[in-house]
Amino acid sequence: MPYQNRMELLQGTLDLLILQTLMWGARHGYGIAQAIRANSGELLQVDAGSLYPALHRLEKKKWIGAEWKVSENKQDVKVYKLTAAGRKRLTQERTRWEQIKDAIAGVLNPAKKENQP
Amino acid sequence: MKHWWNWRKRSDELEKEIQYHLQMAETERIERGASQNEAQAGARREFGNVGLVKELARDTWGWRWLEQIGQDLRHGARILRKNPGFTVLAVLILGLGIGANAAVFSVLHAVLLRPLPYRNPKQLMMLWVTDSRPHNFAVTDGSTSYRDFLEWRRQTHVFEDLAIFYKRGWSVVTLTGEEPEKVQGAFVSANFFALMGVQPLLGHAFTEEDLQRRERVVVLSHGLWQSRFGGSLEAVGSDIYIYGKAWRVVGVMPPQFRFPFLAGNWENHVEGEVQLWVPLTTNPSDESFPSDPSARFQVVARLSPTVTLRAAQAEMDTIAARLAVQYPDSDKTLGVQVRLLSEYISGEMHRPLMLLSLCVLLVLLIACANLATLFLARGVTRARELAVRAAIGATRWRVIRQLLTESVLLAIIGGGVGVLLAGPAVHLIVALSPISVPRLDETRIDPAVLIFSFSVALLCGLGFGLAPARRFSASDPHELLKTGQQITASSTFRMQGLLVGAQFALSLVLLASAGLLIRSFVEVLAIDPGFQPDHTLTIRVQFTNPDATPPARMADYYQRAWERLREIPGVQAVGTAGNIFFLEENQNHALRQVEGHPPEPVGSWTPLVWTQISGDYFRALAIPLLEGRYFTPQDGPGSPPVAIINQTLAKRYWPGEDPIGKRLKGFDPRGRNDEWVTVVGLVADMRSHGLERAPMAEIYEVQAQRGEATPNLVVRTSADPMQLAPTIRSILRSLDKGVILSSITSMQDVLHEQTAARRFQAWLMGLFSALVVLLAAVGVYGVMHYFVTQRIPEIGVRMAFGASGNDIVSMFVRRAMRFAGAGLAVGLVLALWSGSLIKRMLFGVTNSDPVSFLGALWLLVLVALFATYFPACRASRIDPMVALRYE
Repeated sequence: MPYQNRMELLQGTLDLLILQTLMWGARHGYGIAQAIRANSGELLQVDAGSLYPALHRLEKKKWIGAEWKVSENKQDVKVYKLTAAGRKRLTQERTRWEQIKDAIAGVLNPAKKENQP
Repeated sequence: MKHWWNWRKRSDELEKEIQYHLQMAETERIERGASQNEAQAGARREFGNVGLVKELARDTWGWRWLEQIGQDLRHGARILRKNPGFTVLAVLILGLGIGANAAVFSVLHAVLLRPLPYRNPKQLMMLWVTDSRPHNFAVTDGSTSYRDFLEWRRQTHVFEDLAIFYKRGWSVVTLTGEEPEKVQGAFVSANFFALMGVQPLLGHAFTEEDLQRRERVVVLSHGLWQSRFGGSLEAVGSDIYIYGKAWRVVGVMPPQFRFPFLAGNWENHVEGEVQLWVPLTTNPSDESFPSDPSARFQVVARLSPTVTLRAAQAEMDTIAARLAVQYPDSDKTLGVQVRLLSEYISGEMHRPLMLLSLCVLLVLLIACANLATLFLARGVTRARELAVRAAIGATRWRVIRQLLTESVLLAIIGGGVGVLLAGPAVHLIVALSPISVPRLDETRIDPAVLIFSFSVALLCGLGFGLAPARRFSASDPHELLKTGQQITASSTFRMQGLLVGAQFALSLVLLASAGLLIRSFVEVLAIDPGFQPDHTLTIRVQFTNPDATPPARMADYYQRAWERLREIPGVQAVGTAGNIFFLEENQNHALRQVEGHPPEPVGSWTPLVWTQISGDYFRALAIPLLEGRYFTPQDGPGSPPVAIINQTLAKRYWPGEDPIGKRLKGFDPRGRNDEWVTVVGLVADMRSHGLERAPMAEIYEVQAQRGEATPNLVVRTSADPMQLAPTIRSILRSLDKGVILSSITSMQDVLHEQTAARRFQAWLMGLFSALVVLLAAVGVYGVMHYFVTQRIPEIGVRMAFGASGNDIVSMFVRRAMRFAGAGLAVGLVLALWSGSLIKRMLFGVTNSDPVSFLGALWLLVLVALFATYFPACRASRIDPMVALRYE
C-alpha cells in the first residue's frame, strides 16, 4: 500500500504546505499541487492520492473552505481557500514546524548546542 | 436516504474535481509541446490510480462503513445470483419457516397480544364468582346474583365502576316489516358503555334519562346496523321489534366494539355474535328489571388506576367473607376472583396457541439448522475466495462482515417470501380453525407482524451466517493459500453433523407429536356416533316468543309440520327434539325417584339428560329401537306419561333386567315432574355428549305430553338432504309466518363441526411434519453431498486399495447414520417428554403410543438413508484414477 505509507509520512507537513499555499489566495487542487512543486523548486511532488484526501480532510475540519467557480472555458471548478480557523491553524503548524526543524537541527549538530549556554 | 443523496452529490463533485485536475495537467503538457496522446497518458500516470484516489478521498468523509455495506450488499447479491439453485433453496426453506411463524404470530397477536378494543383495557377486570360446593351444585360460570352485585358496588373502593352483563335467554328478536331473524342480545347495566370507555359511532349510549323515561331503548352493533338499516343515519331514533314490542334505537357502536366475545362451541356459533345491547333498568316494574332472584349476571369492573390487582383481590375477599356471613343461605360457599378481562376473553386459547407457537418455532429452528449446514458446506467451497480476499488486505472482520451480510441479505429475502406466504397461511388457519375463537377473524398481516417477521429473519440470518463466519475466523488464510488445502474439513463436518443431529432430534419431537394428534383425530373419526348422520338434515325452528306461545299451539305446529314435510318426495322420516346434542352439559344428576331403587348417593351420580321429542325422531336419526315401542300419536296430554330411555340409563338402573314397564320420576328441582313416568321403549345410545365422551343416560319424553318447545327439526331423506332445504324452508314458513328458521345444515356438517378442533390440529401438524421431513432430507443430502466432494481423494485411495463400490456406499451411510442416529436418540427422549405434555389433548392413544413413535422414527431413518444413499452412490461411481488426480 504505497500511497497510504507515503501519506502517513507526509501528513503533518502536507497540511502545512497546503495551508501555506492557500495564504496567497484561493486555488483549485491542481493549482495547489503545482504551486507546491514550483515553490519547492520542483523538489516536492504532491501526488493526487495524498492531496485530495488531505484537502477533503482539511475541509471537514473547516480549516479550508471550498466553493464552486466557473473557469475560463466554462467548467465547474472546485476552489479551496483559507478560513479564519485555517489561518490560526497555519500559525500553530508553522510554530510546530519551526520547533521540529530546530530539534532536528539540534540533533544533527550536537556541538553547537553544547556551546550555547 | 438523505445520507445517500449527500453521498451521491459529493461523489459527483469529487469526480468533477479529479477530471478537472487531469484536464489541467493535460493542457499544461500540451502547452509544453507534448502530443494529445502523450499528454493524456502522462497526466494519468502522474495522477495514479483514479479509483484509489477517489476511495481515499471518500474515506475522509467518514461514511466509509455505509459505502462498505453497499459493497457487501452488491457483492452478496452477485454471489446469490451466481448460485441460483442454492439461493432458491435457501430462500424457500427460510420463507416456509418464517411464513409459518409470521402466520402463527399474526394469530397470536390478534387473539392474545393485541389490547382489547376498550379504553385502558388493562384496568378491566372480571369479578368471577368461585364456589366451593361440589361440582353439581356449584356456580361454574362465574356469575353472581343481582343482590350481590349491588353489595359489591356499595362496598368496594378499589374499582372506578362495576357493570353487569347478561347474554343468555335473550336470543330471539324480530325486526320490523321483515322476516324475523334471530339475533343475540345482551342485557347490560346502564353504565356499561361508559365503563368500557367506548363511544357509540352514532347517537348515544344509555343515559340516566333513558332509564328515567322508562322507554325501551337499544344500542345496535355496527354489523346489525349495516345489515338491517343499510348503514343509514336514520337508524338512530327508529324502532326495531323484539318479541313484538317496539324498541327505540338510541346508538350504534363502532365496528371494533364487540362484547361479550363468544368463545367456544358449536352452539354459540349458531347463535352468532351479540348484536344489540339493552339496558337493565333499576325500576322494578320494567320488564328488563333484574327481578328474578335466580337470574345471574357476569360482572365487569374497572380498576382504579392506582390499585393493584392483588389489592383488589384482597378487598373482594373481605367483601365475600362479609357477604357469606350476611347471607349464609346463598353466599356461604362463594368467593370472588378478580380476573383480567383479557384472560376471561382469550384465556382458553392460551394453551393451544402456545403449543402452535412452539411447533412453528421448532420448524424455524430446524430450518435455521438446515441453512447453517448448507452455508457451512458452501463456505468450504468458497474458502479459497475468502483466503484471497484476506491475503490482499481485507481484514478478518471485513470478511466476516461480508459473510454475515450475505446471510442476512438471504434472510431478508426469505423473510419477504415468508410474509407473502403468511397471507394465505393466515386465511388457511382462520378457515380451518375451530370456530368462535374470540378475535381470530380480526387476524391481519399488520405492521406488528411485519416487524416480527423481519426481526426473526434478521436473527436467523445472523444465526446461520455465524457458523461459516466462525469457521473462517478460526482458519489461517495464508496457510490455506500456501498448501492449497481445504480448511479444516473434518471439524466442519463435525459441526454439520451436530446440526444435522439437532435437526433430526427436533424433527422427531414434532413428528411424534403430530403422529399422536393425527392418530387421536383418526380415532375420533372412527367413533360410531350412534346414529347415521348421512342423508339427514337439521334445522332450528323457533317461535318469536316461546314463553308466550301456548304448548298446544307448538304441538299443533310440529304435528302439521312433520305431516307436510313427510309428503315431500324423498323424505323418509321427520322428527323434532328439544336438543340433539348436550356438548356443554357437565353436571351430574340423579332422578328424583326410580321404582324399586333407593335414592342414589351424590357420589354415584353421572350425567343424565331429559329431552323432549316429537314425530319420527329416532327413525330420522336412524337410532335403532332395541325393545318396546316408539311414541305414537296416542301418547297425548290426556294419556299416562311415557318415556323412552337409552341403553346407558337402562344399565344404570336396571342392569340385566328388562326396563320396559318400569317407572321413574323426573329430576326437575321445581317439582314439576313429580309423577310416575312409564318406560315404553329402549333405544341404542348415541353420542349426544360429544363424540369424545361416553354416551350419557338419556330419557326421551314426547313433546305432546310435556309441551315445551322442540326447536330442532331432523329430516331423513333418500337423496342429498341439502337439495330439499329450500322446499323444507318454504313449507315451514308457510305454516306459520312468525317462526324463525336458522342453521339449516346436514347432520354430517354438524358432526364435522364437532371434530373441527381436532381436524385443525391434525392438518397443521401434518403440514408441519411434511415441512420438517423435507427439511431433514435437504439437510442430510446437503451435508453428505459436501462430505463426498471433500473425500474424493480419499475415496480414490480406498478404491485403489480394492474397496468396492458397496464398501464406499456403506462407509458413507454409516457415517451419516451416526449423526442422524445420535440425533434420533436424543429426539426420542425429548419426544416422549413432549408426548406427556400433550397428554390431555390425546384421544384413544396413549402418550407413548408405539405406532406414532416408531412410525416417526422409521420415517426419519428412511429419510436419512435415502438422502445419504444418492451422494454415497455418486461416491462409489468415482473413477479411482480421476479421484487421485483430483485437486
